[in-house]
Parts: sequence; C-alpha cells; structure tokens
Amino acid sequence: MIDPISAELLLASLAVAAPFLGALAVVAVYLGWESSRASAWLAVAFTGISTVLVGWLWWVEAKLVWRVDWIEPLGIGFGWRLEPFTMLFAVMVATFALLTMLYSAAYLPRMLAAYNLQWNPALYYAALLFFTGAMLGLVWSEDLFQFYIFWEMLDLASFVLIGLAWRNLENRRAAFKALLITALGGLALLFGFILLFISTGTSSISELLEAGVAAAIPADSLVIILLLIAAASKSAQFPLHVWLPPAMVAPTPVNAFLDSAALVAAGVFLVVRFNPLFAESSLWMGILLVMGSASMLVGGLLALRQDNLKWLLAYSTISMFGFIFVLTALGEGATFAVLWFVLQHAIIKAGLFFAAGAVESTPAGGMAVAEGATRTPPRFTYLMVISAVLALSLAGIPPLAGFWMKEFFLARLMEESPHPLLVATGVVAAALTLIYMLRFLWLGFSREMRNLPFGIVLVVTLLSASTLLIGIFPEPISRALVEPAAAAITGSAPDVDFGYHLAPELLLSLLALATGALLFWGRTHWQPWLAQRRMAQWSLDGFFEQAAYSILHLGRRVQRVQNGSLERYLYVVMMGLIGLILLALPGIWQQPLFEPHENLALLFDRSDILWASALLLILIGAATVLTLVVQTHLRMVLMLGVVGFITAGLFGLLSAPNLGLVQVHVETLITVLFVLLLVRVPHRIRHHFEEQSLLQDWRWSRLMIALFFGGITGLLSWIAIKHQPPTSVAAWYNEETLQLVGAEDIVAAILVHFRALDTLGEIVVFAIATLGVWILVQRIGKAPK
Amino acid sequence: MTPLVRFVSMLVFPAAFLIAVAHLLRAESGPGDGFTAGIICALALTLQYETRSTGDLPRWLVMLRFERLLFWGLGIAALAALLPLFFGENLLARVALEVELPLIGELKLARATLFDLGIALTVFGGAMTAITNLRYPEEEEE
Repeated sequence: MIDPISAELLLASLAVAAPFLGALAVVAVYLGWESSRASAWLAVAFTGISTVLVGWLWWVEAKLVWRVDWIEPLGIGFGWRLEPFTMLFAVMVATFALLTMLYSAAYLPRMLAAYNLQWNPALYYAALLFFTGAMLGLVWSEDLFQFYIFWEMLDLASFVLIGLAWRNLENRRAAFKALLITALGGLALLFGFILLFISTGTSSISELLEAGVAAAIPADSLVIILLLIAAASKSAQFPLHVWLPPAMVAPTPVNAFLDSAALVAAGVFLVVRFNPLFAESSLWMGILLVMGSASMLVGGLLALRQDNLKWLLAYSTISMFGFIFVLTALGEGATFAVLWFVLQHAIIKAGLFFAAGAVESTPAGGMAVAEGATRTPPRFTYLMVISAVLALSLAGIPPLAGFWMKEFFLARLMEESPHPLLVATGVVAAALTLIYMLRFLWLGFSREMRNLPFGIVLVVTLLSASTLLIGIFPEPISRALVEPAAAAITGSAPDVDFGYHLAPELLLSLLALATGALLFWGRTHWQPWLAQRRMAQWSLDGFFEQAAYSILHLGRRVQRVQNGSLERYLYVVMMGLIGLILLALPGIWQQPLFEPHENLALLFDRSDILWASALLLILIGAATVLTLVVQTHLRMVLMLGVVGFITAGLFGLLSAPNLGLVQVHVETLITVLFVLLLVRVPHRIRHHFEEQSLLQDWRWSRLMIALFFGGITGLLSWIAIKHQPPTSVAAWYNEETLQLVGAEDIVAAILVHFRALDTLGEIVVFAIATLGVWILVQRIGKAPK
Repeated sequence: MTPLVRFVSMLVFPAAFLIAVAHLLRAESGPGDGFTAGIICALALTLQYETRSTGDLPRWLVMLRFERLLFWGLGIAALAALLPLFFGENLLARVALEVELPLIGELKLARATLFDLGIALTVFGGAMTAITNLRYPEEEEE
C-alpha cells in the first residue's frame, strides 16, 4: 500500500510534524534553562520551518493524495491530501502561526511585566505550537477519523491556552466553558462521521468527495445536524457561541490566532469541505442560513454594547462567521466568496487583535508613563493609523480588501437569496459592522499611551499593509490562492470580477455604510438606550451557567452519601450486591450446588497434599479467630497478614506457584502499608482497642456485614468452581504458548502477550489510583493532627 | 532499630534488587514478573527508610519523586507496546532480538522484557508513592 516516498510527501509530513517537535523542544529546553526568550525563538524557528515548507509546497503547486492503512480491519487510514483548497488553509494557518509567534516574542515579556502575570511561557509556546501542528494536520487530513483526532487536539490546545492563568477563577471558567462546548461539538463530529462512514462504507475524504460529486450519498438528516453542531461549536455560531467571548481572558496573540485563521476557521473548513456532499439538502442549507443570520445579527448587536476591546472583537468574530455561514448556504457558486471572506477576515481580525493587544499592554490610567509623557509617542499615532485601516477594511470601505469581501457577499445574496428578508439582514449586519468598528477605534485610542515595542508595530503594519494592497490590487492574491481553491471545490474556475460597477450590491453596500456612519454620528441618542436593554439573555450565557450549576449541585447532593462512615459505605455496597444477586437468583438456583465437585474428588485422591492443605486451612481459620481475639491494631494487622501468607502457601501447594508468589508480595506490601497507616488512626480509636479485642467490641451490624460478605464470596467462588465451561482454554494455552510466544510460563505469557493490552490498561488504572492516593494525602492528610 | 536489624537490611538491599532483576529477566520462564519485581524493590527500599534515619540515606534517594516514576513506567510500557509497529508488526506483537555479548553470552532482548520493565517501574513508583506519603505524616514538615 505504501507508495514510494516522494519529496512532497516528506515535506508535507515534516511541515505537520515540525510544530509538534517544536512543542517538545520548547518544553525540553525550558526544563533545563528557564528562559522565556529561548522558548520564544525556538517557537519562531519551528513555526518558521513549517511555514517555509508549506510555502514551498504551495509554490510548486503540490498535489498529493497519500494514504496508508491505519486500522486495517475497518478500512480506516491515515494520510495527507494536498490540493489548492487545503493549501489555502494550510498557507493561512502557517503564516498566521508565524506572525503570532513573532508578535508573542515582543508582546509576552511586556505583558508579563506590566500585569505581573504568572503563567509559564514554555507552556504557552508549546500549546501554541501543538495547536498549529494540529491545525495543519486537520486541513490536510485524508481520513475522517484522522480529521476527528486533529479536531480534538485543537480542543485540548485551546483549553490549555485559555486556561493559562489558571490561578484566576475567571480563566478556569472560560477554559472549561470552551472545552465543554467544543468537546460537545467534537462528539457530534465523531458520531456524524461514524454515521457517514457506515452509510457510505468509506472513511477516505477523497473517496467521499468523488462519491459526493456523483450524488451517491444519501442526505441523512442526522449526519447533517451532527456535522453542523460540530462546525457551529468551533466557529462559535449562535447558539453555541457562548464560549468565545469569555475566552478573551487568554493572552491576546492566542485570540488573534484562534479567532482568525485557526480554531474558528476549522468550523468553516468542515462546512466548505463537505458542502458538495450536502449541497442538495434543504436541511443543510436551512440550518446554515438560520444559524448564520442569527449569529450575524446577535454578534453585531452585542458587539455594540462592549466596552472591552477584545470582547468587542470576539462578538465581531461571531458576526463575521455568521456572514460566512450564510454565504456557504448559498450554494457552490458562492465558494469563491466564502474563501475570499475567510482569508480577508483572517488578515483583518488578526491585525485588529494584535492592535488591541498593543493597546492593552499599556494599562490605561495610573500607570507610569514613559519619557515624553505629555505628548503621544509617535509609534502610538502610527499604530492608530494602521489600526484604522484595518477597522475600516472590516467595515467594507473601498478601496480596502474588506470592501470586496462585503461586495461579494451582497452580490451572492442578491443573486441567490431565497428571501428578500435575508438581504435586509445582510445589509443591517454590514451597517452594524461599521458602527462597532468605529466604536473599536474610539474606545481603543482615546487613552493615554506608552511607547510600543517595534515587533508589535511591525506585525500590525504587515497585516494592515496587506489589507490595503489586496484592496487595491486584488487579482494576484485571488489568482494565486483563492481561485484555485474555489475551483478545487466546485470543479470549475470561478467567475471573479474585481471592478467598481454601479450594480445593486454597490448601492446596498453604500446604503449600509451611510446608515452605519449616521448611526455612529448620532450614537449619543441610542447608546444609553441600548445599554439599558436587558440583552444579557441573548448571549445565552445565563442558560449555560444555570446548566453547569445544576450539575454541580447534583454532585454536591451525591457527595452527602460519603459521610466518612465505613459501615455506611459497606451497607451501600451490600445493597448493590443484593440487587445483583436477586437478578442472578434464577440462574443460581439451577446450578447443581450441592453435589460434590469432581476436582475435589481429585484432591481426595492426592493424599500427599490433602493433609497438608487441610492443615493450612485449619491454620487459616485459627489465624482468623486470633485476629478477633487479640488487642491493639498492630496485632490485628499482623494476624491478618498471617492469614494472607498461609493462603499463599496453600496456592503454592495446589500447584499455582505464580499465584502464590504474587500473593506473598502483595500480602507483604499490604501489611507494610497497613502498619504504616496505623499512625494515622485517630488516638481515640487506637486507645479504644488497646484494652479490648474486636470480639469484645462486637456489634450486630458488623456481624451482619461480615457474615453477608463472607457468605456471598464463598457462594460465588463455589458457583464459579461448579460452573464448568463446555470448552476450556487451559488446554489450548498448554499446547500453544511456547510455540506462539516462546514463553514457558503461561501466566506471564498471558500477562505480557495474549492479554497485554489489558495489562497496559491495568497499570494505567493502578497509576491513576496511586496518584489519587498521593493527591488525597497531599491535600487532606496534613490537616488533622 | 537494633544494629543487627540495620545490618540485615543493608545486606538485603542489594540482594533484593538482584532478585528483582532476575524476576524481570526470567519473567517468561518461571514465576515472577515485572509486577513482583516492582514490589520487591519497593519493599527493600521501605526497609531502608524504616531502619535508617533520613540523614543516613543517600541524598538522591530522599529527593526522589516517586509519583514521577509512574509516568516513566507508563511511558516505557507504552513505548514497548508501540515498539513492534516499527518492525512492521501489530501493536504489542512479539518481537525479540538475540544479542551475543562477550562474557555474558546470549541475551534475549524482547519487547516483553521492556514491557515488564515498564510494569515494574509503575508498580515500584506507585507502591513507593503510597508508602512514602502514608507513613509518619509528622516527618514531612521537616
């Protein structure tokens, strides 16, 4: 199956692997040398490798479909799919990742100093690199399940990034909210993919797309709903948008990356990727339209109410992806417009976030101002100008790139909109964009500023200049990146026209701009009114809070069962066991319980071990009785140990040396642990048993529990012995073990060969359990004396 | 502690580790495996802790963070599980290398041995985590 490795394959794999390797390198270096600067340059270097490779692959117009078997019996594979469409996203991800790393190198030291933040720069860069790698892997995925895995990696990385300052409650809440909602989307994606896989029989994205062109895929409504839930959760579409604004507690470069080219773009990637499969379905189209237009309006309106720059941009992102989802619903003809929108939005939004980060790294008021405090530093004025270019571009002012974005949107809407109301919604949302962007400039730059680091200004300049240049000369970038990508989806070259015509969409665009400008000019009239409206419930935040609170409340109720009384726990366990036994009672009844067992008869034939085992059994009984009679805890524990050791001897005698050996070790360990634990038994109880034995202190309740568990264990063992399966695996193991795995010891062979996966699972459980002990002792064990 | 107990524990310490190694290497040909090897090491070390004062122990032993050994153990076991994939086999399949060494003779390096080593480290780390954390809470505040 494996094709000869081509240079393209090698470089593509390396491009995905480089960020992951970089994440490891950052952590490894940081462990030895705690330097934030070293982490930053490592991150830049590894992202740079990835960006150069992606850029080269794009330059040579690499086309590659490579796939190897991964889970062979199911036909699930792993591979890369390089084509213009995935290339567009890959170029976007890699470029913005590099910009983010460069910006972070300038931004982080300043931010950490200004606010005395306590997060680990190595973790920051490692998570960001991990995120970049996952995003590249996602867009180049050839298999549905590979796609899903990278998708979930995005969730994990964004959880870490949002929760970096985990000592703050706010950050933890935001991180968990994002994780809950995006993981819900991830589950929906997995189920959707499984259904798709079952109905089509293939998990290869290439095969699915080919089949989709032939319209061979039944448009299953459940698949559509699940995939759209997944896309909406990632792209923060109404009503699953509630995680995005709180996520603004993350460091600003993270928001810039996540909200432009990365996390939210993953949702759009999913929708556009599978758009050809479901293009005929009215359900797919309907959900996209309703969700998109709701997000467009709600995002725009809520953005007007924000006083925090980043929150304003977050709602703006929700609104903008609403535009994109509406466009996607307009059919294949709009593919070019969608991709153009995504690319331009990424450039502008990243620039705005970077600018907002620069502004916020200089806390307004009260902070020490650098030299020349009375006059505005020149770099700050410059930042204001380039931010204005970005903001106006998003609002759709010609000749900036955002103008074409809005122009194509309105043109497609005029042409293919199913209802005039939708056109009106689009115009209103476009007007809202201008208002909140002017508000952004107003809020951001009406404060006192310190001077800014060169790196920050440089990155914003790059983005601002590109939106200006693309606006004036749109053709080169369109021909190089976006047109081939759209052609790869639709199969034919898109009809693109960058020209100023007196078309209806231009008039609509001007109408939107004029309305927006007028409304902003008269904002003193409506802003207090808007601020008074109770729109909090529109953001649905309260609903999610309530749901989370109810779950916590339920947890506290359940916690009350654990009151620390061992007897009570045992009663609860007993109830459960009684229930299980009642269920199994009919089956137990049919067993021939009271006939002598043939293996027992075998034992009676072996007179040599019969007497020895009888003696050991008597000793076990005697030791058990002694446990009840002796005083002080130490003696009780030691007597219990004696019981265990004699049992081990019994195992050895009955030709189970492995079992006996393990029993000896476990018994020793348990006895040691038990003795060590005695120190922690409260003095009151310890003294209580210094004068009397367990037998002198007996109670009915304990006797009952003891008899019950003893009886049940005995009964179950007896049934297990009596229940002879028709065919035994013992003979097979006896014959085959040596030949198959070269081991003489069958038990060891089962543990490390036949059932090795179980063993692996068991040691993981063991490790988690002991970690639990560790955490409990660390947190609780120290408190009482 | 009497000097005799201390002396015996000193004698037992290296012997216990040798026995543990034997358990590991002979896992496939008789009773004893990674699990018992881990427990033997844990018990031997506990004996040292109990018979000698903290100051007497080597510094690295006192500083050892056993809960981290859990991750090393799991990591090695996972690596051993993945190892056969590099030889074109399935996950956890049987892979063995026979190596001729001077003096020692033929040594069989099997995936299973590495896997057992991972189990042993996990068990050792877990047992020691439990033991060091549960014993004498008063001492931790030193």
